[in-house]
Amino acid sequence: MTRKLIAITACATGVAHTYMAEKALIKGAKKEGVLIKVETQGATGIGHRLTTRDVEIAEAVIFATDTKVRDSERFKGQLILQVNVSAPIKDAQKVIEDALKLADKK
Amino acid sequence: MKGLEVMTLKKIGKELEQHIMTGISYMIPIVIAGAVLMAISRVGASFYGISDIWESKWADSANLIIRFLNTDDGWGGMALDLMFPIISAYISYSISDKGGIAPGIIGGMLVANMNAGFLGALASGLIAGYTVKLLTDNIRLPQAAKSVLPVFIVPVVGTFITLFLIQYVIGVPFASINTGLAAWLKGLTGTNKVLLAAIVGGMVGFDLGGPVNKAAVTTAMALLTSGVYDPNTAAQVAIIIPPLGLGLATIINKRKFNHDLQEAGNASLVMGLIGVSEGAIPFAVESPLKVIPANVIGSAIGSALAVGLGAVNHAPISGFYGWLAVEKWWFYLIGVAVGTLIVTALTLLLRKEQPMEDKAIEEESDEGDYFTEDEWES
Repeated sequence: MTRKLIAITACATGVAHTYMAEKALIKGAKKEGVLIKVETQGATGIGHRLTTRDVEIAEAVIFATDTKVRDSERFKGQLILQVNVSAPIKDAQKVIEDALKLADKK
Repeated sequence: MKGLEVMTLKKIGKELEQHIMTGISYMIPIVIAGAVLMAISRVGASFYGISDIWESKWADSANLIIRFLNTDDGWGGMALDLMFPIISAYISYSISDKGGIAPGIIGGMLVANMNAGFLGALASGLIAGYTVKLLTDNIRLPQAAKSVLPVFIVPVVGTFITLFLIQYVIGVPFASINTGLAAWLKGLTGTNKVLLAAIVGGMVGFDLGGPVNKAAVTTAMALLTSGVYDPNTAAQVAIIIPPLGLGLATIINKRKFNHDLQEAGNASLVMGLIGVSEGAIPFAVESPLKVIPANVIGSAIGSALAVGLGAVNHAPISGFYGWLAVEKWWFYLIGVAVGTLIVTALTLLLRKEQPMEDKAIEEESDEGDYFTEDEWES
């Protein structure tokens, strides 16, 4: 079965890093053969909002955020990997591998 | 054991950084709104040869436009007055969620009234947030009385403790730090002033929207309210130099950049013009040891030049739409141009030409839908 992750990206200004991290995660996930849905919490609001169904399906959640995650109660009880928003921009594949490892440990 | 302590310290530091960044991200729009309203009024007033448009005497001017400019300056000031309450409220919110907002915003007001400055506002947000967290984590009430906690205890006790600590513990020392710092910065002249601009510029160019950059930019913004403009001028010049310089470099010599970076170069130029330094990030990620020194040197020299020549940017805007509102904007643009050219020249010097790549780079779309909803559900 293909592995599945979800992620949230957010940065302080909410115009650049947020979306670069989103792109990087998607690109990295493709290379790793993982399915990923990324929600962006930027200055203009929330993009690609994750549903409760998405949260159920995903094995783990990546928070690539420099600021507080909005509506974080959606992810209560889920496995969460917290990294800086710059982490996936630098090496998205590593972030994704770490999230998968987190899921394996359980 | 030691390692564990280092780990927790690091974790606490990261947590604090996240709370403060959250506060800053909610404060930035307020500062931009206020400072731009104010800049419009001051630049407008300068056409009438007025340099104290905020004085109440202009409110009775016979000239309708002057009267409006006076009002507009008041609007700007009003917006800027919200800066400390808002950053304090949202730092607190980041720590303790909704319950943190009331104590945080009220604490921020007290900080503003006591003139305890940006540091005071950070402290107020942290105090309010952790006080509320302490209350909600530790007070256990019987089910029937549960709602007393969020509707009464948290707002009242949380606010009381926050205000008490600000008024009697941190307020006065922070206020003297604040006035001391502002007075010292205002008093800087000649070499020191240029040196300060160079340091601010270097910090801004260092990590392109990262913590060092944000520390410099927000401190500069906060100082605007104390009437200290040089750090802001330096910061705004420095913000756009890296993306412009790197973008220009990709245009001048394409062969030194791979396909991805050539694309990034165009985006970087546009982002530079609208005042977003993050456009330079792809370059800094690809070869940090070459790009970061070039950015720091270019930004530092550009900022030092603009401030040294006497340009003053009253608003926290770095994009081209703010340039004409800058006092002595021609010197400002010289600073930007020289800094940009330095970044371009250093980058081209440091980089080697790329080996001819395989032209078979697969053009893949970056969009999210590389799988269907069915695959996701299966």
